[in-house]
Amino acid sequence: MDKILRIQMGPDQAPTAKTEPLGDYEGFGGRGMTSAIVAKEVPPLCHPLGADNKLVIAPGLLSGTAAAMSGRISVGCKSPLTGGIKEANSGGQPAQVLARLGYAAIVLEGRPAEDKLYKIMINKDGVEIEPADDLKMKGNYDTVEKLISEYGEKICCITIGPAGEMKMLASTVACTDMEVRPARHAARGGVGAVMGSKGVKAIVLDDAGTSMRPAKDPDKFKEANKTFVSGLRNHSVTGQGLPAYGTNVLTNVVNEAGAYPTYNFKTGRFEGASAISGETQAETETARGGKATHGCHRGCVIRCSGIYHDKDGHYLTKQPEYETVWAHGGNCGIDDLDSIAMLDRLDDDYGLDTIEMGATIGVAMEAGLAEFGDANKAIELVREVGKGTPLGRILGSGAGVTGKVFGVERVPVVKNQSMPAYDPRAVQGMGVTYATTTMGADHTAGYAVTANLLGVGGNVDALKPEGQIELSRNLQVATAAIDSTGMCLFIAFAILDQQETFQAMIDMINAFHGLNFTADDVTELGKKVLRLERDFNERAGFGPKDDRLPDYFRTESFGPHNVTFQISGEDLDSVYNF
Amino acid sequence: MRPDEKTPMSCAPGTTLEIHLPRRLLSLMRLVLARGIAYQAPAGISVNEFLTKHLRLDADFIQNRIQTIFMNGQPVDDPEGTRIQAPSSLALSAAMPGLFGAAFRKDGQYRAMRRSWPADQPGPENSESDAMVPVTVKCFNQVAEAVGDDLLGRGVCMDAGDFLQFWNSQHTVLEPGCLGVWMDGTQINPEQVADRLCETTGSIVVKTHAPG
Repeated sequence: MDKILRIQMGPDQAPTAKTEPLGDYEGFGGRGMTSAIVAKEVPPLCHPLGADNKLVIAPGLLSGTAAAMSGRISVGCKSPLTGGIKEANSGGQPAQVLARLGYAAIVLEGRPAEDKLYKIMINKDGVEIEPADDLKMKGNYDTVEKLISEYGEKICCITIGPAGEMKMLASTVACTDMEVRPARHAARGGVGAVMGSKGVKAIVLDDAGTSMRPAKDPDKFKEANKTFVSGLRNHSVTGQGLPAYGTNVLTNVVNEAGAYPTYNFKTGRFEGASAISGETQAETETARGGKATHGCHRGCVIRCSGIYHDKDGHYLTKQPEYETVWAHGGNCGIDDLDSIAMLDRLDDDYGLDTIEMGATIGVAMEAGLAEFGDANKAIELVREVGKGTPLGRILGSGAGVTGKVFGVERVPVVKNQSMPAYDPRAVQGMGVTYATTTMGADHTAGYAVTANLLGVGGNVDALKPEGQIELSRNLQVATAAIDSTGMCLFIAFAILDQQETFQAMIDMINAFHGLNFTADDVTELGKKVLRLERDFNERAGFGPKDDRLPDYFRTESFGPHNVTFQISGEDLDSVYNF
Repeated sequence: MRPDEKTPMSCAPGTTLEIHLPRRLLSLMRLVLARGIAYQAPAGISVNEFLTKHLRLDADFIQNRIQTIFMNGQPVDDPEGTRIQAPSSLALSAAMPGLFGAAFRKDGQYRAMRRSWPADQPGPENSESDAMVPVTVKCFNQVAEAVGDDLLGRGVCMDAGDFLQFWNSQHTVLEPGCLGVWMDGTQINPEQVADRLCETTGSIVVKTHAPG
């Protein structure tokens, strides 16, 4: 993984590819790599869909190795949804394959002169760029099927659906999983639209003839990986809860806490929660011959995913995540798992962010376009997006645009990106992260509950009033670091509880790269990434006013606990004091 | 209790439903525990003592396996010191993933993330020291998996409407899958369960038998 592949898509010439050494980007991976390239090379004031923007696709520092859980791939650019820097990451096979092919990043640059589509084939022999107009407006599933028929079943793919081609703000970049299905997505921020603007429909990766990346110290690496895997398997969250029920195990519990945004963030409890819970979902999957436990990439030990079959026992989609079940379920008053799974399938096929689309349908329901709870109408609205009708174009632009078009005040966005499935009034510290992250409202931006272990900012007293600010800051730093390794964030719980598992992760990085990283170095990496991102956003025109939740979170109390968001603007402005 | 909390029911069942089913359907039946089962407990009992005496859970399980507890929607950090004074709803869960899981974990180091919740108003205290109060218990995820078969085997008291809702949501599997259903000692066709429960109000006792 010692080179960067740059693909110039035009407009002055036909698409060309060249490789170059890592140069200034040595030591970066995943989010660190995407943000470093975007921050340095993309003019912050450029149009996100113009030739000056770049789409960077980067595996993590440990991707392509035998390290467990190292299969996340980062996709970065200037976001057409937020207008700021963006990193969205995904599971699936591409991170491992791209890393084994030796690439630390693919950078898509420029823009074709004409409205043409291309596919890029990358294997050990090099790179080929070919016209792909035959794939125009095909869904991700059909696209991948066609690519398999052309290149064989051993490939993995990075593709966009019709939403990306139509340059919708809610569009994703899809990654294929172990079954070569386009069911994993770098979903947030409209990264699919940027790939669409470059005229790239698909990147096909084939690692035949390559081997796993070798560690500098193979014995130490193997030993650390073994300890790491054992730690994950022995922990109740990563070894039991997530494998058994997936992330949707959260539905019952978040609902019980009164923090489950329901009916477009009106209240914190949903009567139908039990019917769409992870427990019910797992039973349904098993009964129909699907799978309640399944990995999204080779080397996944937690296996929090699954396979969802329809009533007739045929594959419909991968197991919808908690965020998806919430967004299309409780947030829209829908308590039918089959409808939610269908919405997930449509989102994956069109290439749409399930959080953004669920939040958008919730806003549309509030606007009167459908009744809350009307699953058929919700499906119909998402189909409008896939077809690109005028209404579909509005909805595909996300909750912010939809709220403006239909005059809705209750629009749950920060930096124009929809909030995920935890109401910030009930989990105030999460609200600090939603408000201040460089990414727009994003629960994963402050997800790595390892901050205390890393000693980021010292050990925070959880009972201090200022704890939320400190914790959010520390979590964002820790998350930026983990996102750079290519490790799945779900390792966080085992790392939090088990010092030896945490140490094993550091040992793996050190043994692989021949480094002597300490927790302080990991922290410094996280801070460096955040500073780059923050600086880009400031140059793009972002300021304190953008680090705020919408007003109604301060004025509308949220049941059942009747709370409002109470963190002051002054406190929010202090998050980046590091 | 919060205004929108469902009032915990007292357990004075009029109907007993005994369901004989193969072991493979036990996990499906456990889903019913997420809807709430009814107990009566002496006012002032600690959460710990309640779980020990009424659910028959051992101290190790309470301390190590139950990592997330809510009483009337409020997180409980100290099950020994938290007392049930008035009609209450208790929810029990294993450790949960993500930041939410960390923030709401029992006495967790990220509990500051949930600050600013108004303190729950204490319920009216019962003047008689031996007064009993209704407590509704919801068991989720691995907690239901660990204790559910035992609870259901002994019989649980729950709202007839809640059970009917559960049965209707799973009837396509349960009706053909059941080995037999007895209502108040009389065998009925599993397909009659929903109709018979429509006529039932208040609470019922649900008991499962799984041979082998």
